Amino acid sequence: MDERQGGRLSAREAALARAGRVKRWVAGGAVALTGIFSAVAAHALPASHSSKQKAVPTAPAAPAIEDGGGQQQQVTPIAPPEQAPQPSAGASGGGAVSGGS
Amino acid sequence: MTSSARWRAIGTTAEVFVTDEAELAEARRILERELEAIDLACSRFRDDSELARVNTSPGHWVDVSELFLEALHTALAAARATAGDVDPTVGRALRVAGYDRDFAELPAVRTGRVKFVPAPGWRLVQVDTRRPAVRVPRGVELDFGATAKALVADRAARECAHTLRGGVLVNLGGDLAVGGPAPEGGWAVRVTDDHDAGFDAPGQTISIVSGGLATSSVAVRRWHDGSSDTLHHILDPASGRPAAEFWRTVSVAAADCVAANIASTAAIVRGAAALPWLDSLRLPARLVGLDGVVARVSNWPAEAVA
Repeated sequence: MDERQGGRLSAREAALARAGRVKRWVAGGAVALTGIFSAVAAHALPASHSSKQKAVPTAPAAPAIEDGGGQQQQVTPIAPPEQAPQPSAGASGGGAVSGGS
Repeated sequence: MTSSARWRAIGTTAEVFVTDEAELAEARRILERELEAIDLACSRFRDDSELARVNTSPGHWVDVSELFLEALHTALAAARATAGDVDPTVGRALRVAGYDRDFAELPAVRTGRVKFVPAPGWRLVQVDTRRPAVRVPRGVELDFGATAKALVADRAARECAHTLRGGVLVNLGGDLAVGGPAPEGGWAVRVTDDHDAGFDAPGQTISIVSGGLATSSVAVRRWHDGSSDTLHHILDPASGRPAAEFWRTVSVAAADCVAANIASTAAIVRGAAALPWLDSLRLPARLVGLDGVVARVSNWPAEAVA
C-alpha cells in the first residue's frame, strides 16, 4: 500500500465516521421531537375518556338546547275550567267585556 | 259590588276588577308592572325589545330574560297543542301582510305591497334553556301576539290572588283571567265581537268563578290591502293568509287565560273542524257564525230568554 492509497482510506473512514455521527444526531433528535410533540398534544387535546376513570352514576342531564318541537312542556297547555260558565243576568254597574282585539 | 280601573296599554285596553275596593290601586300596580315587562320583552313594535333583537339576529344566539323564555315556551306549547294552527313563527307573515306596526298606527288602506308567506314553523326555533338564549334561522321572525297578552293576564291574576285580599279579574283586550274568591254570583262577563264595545253590545252575559276566558274575532283589527280585499289579523300559519272566515267570533273558557286564548285563536283558524276539537278537549265555547248563528259546546250556557 502506497501513501496515496493510505490517504484515500483514512479520508473514507473519516467520512464514514461523520456520517455515523449525523445519523445518531438525527435519530436522537427525532426521538426528542416525538417526545416534545407528544407532550404538547397531550396538553392541547386532553383525553375525553380514560379507562382508569371510575364511572360515576348520575341522572341524565336535560339537554340545554332544544328546538321548538322539543321535549319541554309536552303536556298540553289546554285544560278545561274547573267550572263551566253559568248564565248570568249581568252585574249591577256592568262587568268585564270579552271580545276580539 | 266590585271596583275596577281601565286604561290603554300595549295597543289594547287593560282593565282590573277587585272585590275589595281597598286593593284596587295595588292590583293596578301589579298589572302595570307585568305589562311594562312583557312589552319590553316581547313587543314586535319596539326596536329595543328582546323579541326585536332575536328577529334581527338570525343565525345568532341571543341572550334573553326568564320572562321572554316563559313567553316563548308558552307560544311553542301553543304550537304543539294546535299542530301549528297557533304558531309564533308567523311574525314575518304578519309583517309582509301589512301588519307591520302598532295597529292604531296602521292606515285604513294599505298602499304598500302586501304579500302572503307561510310561517316557517315553530320547530325551527332553538332554545338554550340554561343561558337562556334563543336562535332563529334566517327568514324566521317571532310574534307572540296570540299568547303573550293572555300570559300577562294569568301572571297578574296569580300575583294579585297571592298578595291581595279578595278576588281579582284581569282583562286585557278581552283576554280574562280570574284569581282569588269570586264575588257572589261570579264575575259577570259580556261576550261579544269587540272587546272595546260596551256591556250592552250584542252578545251574551255569563258568569265565571275561576280560570280564564278569551274571545277571538275576525270582526276587529281589519285593514284594506288596496285591492278589493279586507284582511284580518288572525293568519293561518300554513298559508300566511288571513284565516278563512267561517266563524266571526269564538269565546272559550278554560283552566287559564293562555289555554282559552290558544283555543279561541285555533278555532278561528280551524273553521268547522273547531267544534269537535273543542268538544274533545271539554272546553266550554260559544262560536258565532258569519250569519250570526250561535253554536255552543261543552256546557257553554244557553242564552237567557229575555
